[in-house]
Amino acid sequence: MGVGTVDRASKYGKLNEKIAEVKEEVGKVIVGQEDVIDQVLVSILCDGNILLESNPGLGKTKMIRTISSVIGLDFSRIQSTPDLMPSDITGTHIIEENEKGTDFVFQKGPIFANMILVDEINRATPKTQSSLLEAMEEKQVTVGNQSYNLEEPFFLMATQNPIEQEGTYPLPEAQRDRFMMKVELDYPKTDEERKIVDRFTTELDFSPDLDQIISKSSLIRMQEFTREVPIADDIRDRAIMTVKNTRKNEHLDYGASPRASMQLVLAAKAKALLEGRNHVSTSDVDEMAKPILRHRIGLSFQAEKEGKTEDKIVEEILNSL
Amino acid sequence: MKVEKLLKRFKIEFVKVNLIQASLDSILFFLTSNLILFLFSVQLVGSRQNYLIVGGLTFLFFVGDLFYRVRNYHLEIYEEQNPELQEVLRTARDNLDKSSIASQALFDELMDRARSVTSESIIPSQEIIKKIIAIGVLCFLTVGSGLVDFQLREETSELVSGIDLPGAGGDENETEPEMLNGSEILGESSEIEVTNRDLAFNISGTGEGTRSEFSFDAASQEFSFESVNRGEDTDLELAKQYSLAIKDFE
Repeated sequence: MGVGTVDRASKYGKLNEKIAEVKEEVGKVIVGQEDVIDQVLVSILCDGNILLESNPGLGKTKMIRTISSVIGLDFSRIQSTPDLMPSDITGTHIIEENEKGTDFVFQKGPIFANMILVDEINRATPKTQSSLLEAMEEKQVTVGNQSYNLEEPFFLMATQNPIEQEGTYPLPEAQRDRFMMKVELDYPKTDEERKIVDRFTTELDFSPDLDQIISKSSLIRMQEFTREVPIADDIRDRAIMTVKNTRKNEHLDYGASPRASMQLVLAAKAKALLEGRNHVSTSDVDEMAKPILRHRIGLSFQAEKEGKTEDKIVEEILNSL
Repeated sequence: MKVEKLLKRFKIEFVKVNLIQASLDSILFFLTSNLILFLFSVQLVGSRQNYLIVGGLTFLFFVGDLFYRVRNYHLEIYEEQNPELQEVLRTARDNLDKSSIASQALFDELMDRARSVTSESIIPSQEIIKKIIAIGVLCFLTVGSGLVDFQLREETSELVSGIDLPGAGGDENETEPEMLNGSEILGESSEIEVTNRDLAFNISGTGEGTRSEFSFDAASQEFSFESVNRGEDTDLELAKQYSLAIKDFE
């Protein structure tokens, strides 16, 4: 084995170790939900945004806060309400008095952080929702005539409640497409719930010391590395065909965009990395297909009447390939 | 690059395995065709020997079979037989031009895992054994049918007629001599009339001369023979005795 081989192997090994350590640290706070943690980490490795959907009280905020702490990112939380204004998110120009006189100074809003949690995004008005679009896609915000770059890495995680629909503004399709994946949190299993209860009821303020496993710069390197994970042509084609087949499925009113193809392949690469593999497997594509596609496809009336769900349709498409 | 060499090695091993397969298939083809032609007394083309034509067809079959098999080569064959290489081989093949850390790590891993992979893993042993047994059975049948001269059809039929191949039938030098029985060689038997004939032999030896003269007079039915011999008195004496004995016999 040559020197180069050792270097590459050690680099790759270290990367896998770091990812395993991140999971371990997050596990100190969050009980179970391994799949959801994996999906969030995949999204971070892919530099993508996440739409989290779950019932209240499942620990969405806790999870995101914990992950941002472990990977050394500045965390910021925005609670969406119908009266939330775009300037409340992006920031605004305020008058500041100094020695020279008075001047307009830009005061940064909560969007200027590395990891943003927008709680109950569907409670914000469409105008406010769309102000997040630029930040999500361009990694910048424009206030007045001036654009401000957001610090890298930048993630936006929005949550929405699937139960309460009254007084909400469902995200338009174009905006949903900006989210890399839609992660669904389910209720924990009995033994997991028992652990949660034990963990959070024995201490007044349960906040274990969390180590910062990686720095911002190493996270950016990991993101670059994720894109280099090799994928076989036929596995890539499987991902593309999965997305393409959503466009001609009889149960769907509309299918996923080519952006979904790109993000499915990318997510599969990140998933391979999380699994400690140096190549993408078919199982990575299959596992990532549901979170990548479920918010990008629209069920037809007939399909809804038949009790079909987006996940079922994606599963059918995967089985048909 | 090492991985390219590895992939090449896999292909060569695949060709080797299929060379064996194609050879066995061809032998089966030859033996089966030969046996069928013999059993049904089929003459393929004109007076050409069947085995020459079947041999030619077998060669074509071998080339076609090998070409078809090699054309169907895909790396997944190795993956199916070596689960530890699942998806790794294909990924490496499709990313040979990449030089990223992840790709290099993949290549290193592949080289490590592929050490134990040989062509044995892709040899369909059962299939080959079946073919060898089939060849054995066909050989036995061919030899057996030849020995007992067992044919399902006695009458020879020409499968492809009307084809005048160059050298077929016209050239006597190239045709095998026909086997004829005694009556065919000698013709119909005929009675021979025995009549009295006078035969006069006049043999005179001088002991000289280098050439023999033999004359036959059909009218007088007299044979004369003059022999010139040097020194062989015993032979001459014997000849005289013979001629006297013939005279006495008459």
